[in-house]
Amino acid sequence: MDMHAMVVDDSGIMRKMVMKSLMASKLADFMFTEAVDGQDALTKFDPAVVQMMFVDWNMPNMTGIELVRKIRETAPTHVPIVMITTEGTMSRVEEALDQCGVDGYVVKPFTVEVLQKKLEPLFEKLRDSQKKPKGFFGRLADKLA
Amino acid sequence: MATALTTESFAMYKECLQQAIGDTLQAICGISIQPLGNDGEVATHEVIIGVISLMGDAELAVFIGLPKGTAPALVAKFAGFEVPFESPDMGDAVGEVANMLAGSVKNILDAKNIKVNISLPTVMRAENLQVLLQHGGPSAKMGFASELGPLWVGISTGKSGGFVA
Repeated sequence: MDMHAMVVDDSGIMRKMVMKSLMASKLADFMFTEAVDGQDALTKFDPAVVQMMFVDWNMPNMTGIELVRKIRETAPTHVPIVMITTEGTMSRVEEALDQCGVDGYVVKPFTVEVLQKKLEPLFEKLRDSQKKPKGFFGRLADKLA
Repeated sequence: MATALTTESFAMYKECLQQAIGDTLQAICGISIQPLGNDGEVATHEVIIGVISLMGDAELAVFIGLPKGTAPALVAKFAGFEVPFESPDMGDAVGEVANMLAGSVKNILDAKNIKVNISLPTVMRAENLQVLLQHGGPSAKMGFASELGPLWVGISTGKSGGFVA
């Protein structure tokens, strides 16, 4: 499965680590767009291209959850969003799961195995939704493409 | 609002930090640390330091200092790839370690019903650094030995809560 993911983190090394771990997880064939903060993410976010987002919680200018709220307000479709958090902000992320439509979270530090285990159900759902037979408009869109 | 600081509560914060640095380095690098003697002195010729504040029921600043000999080894183990001491990525990595350390302190404090929020980290790279903490005041520095080299952590408290000896 191809997956275009956006990784939003003010730390360059964390973005590299998230991308490296995702590629090593073999959950999908990943392509990435990187964003250095929430504002940068909103500028680069294209719902026609980005299929999934990995968002740091603690960022300057705009927190991760503020970014999630803005994406949810503006994106025409539900783009799965996974928060990347530390132990210290885990409880607030758990609250955000329900309130803001966050699809999952990963606690730093994480290993490839932990990431794989944590994200597998989400990718399973995505694979299932891709397998579902398309309706009339879906087939028409495929024909027109 | 921060509660008044006592000798006992400061000792408790110090213990939290000691537990947090052990837990954090075990989690990110799989290494254990041992407290250094001689007042925790660690060479500070070339170092990188990550500082982060915790605000709420307690007002604290915690920091981690990594000498040039330790930082690249620790970050390589944590990140899974080499990061030169002089590169901007080293600053990001030490900021992340400080972030995780503060997150771990916050978690330990949460369990004691002391609620705090953590700030973004500040990272400084320096030569011939002297860490000057308040003498006899509510601050402390602790040195540790590890298989990746020595390091230290420190804690300093805000004055808003006052200090009751």
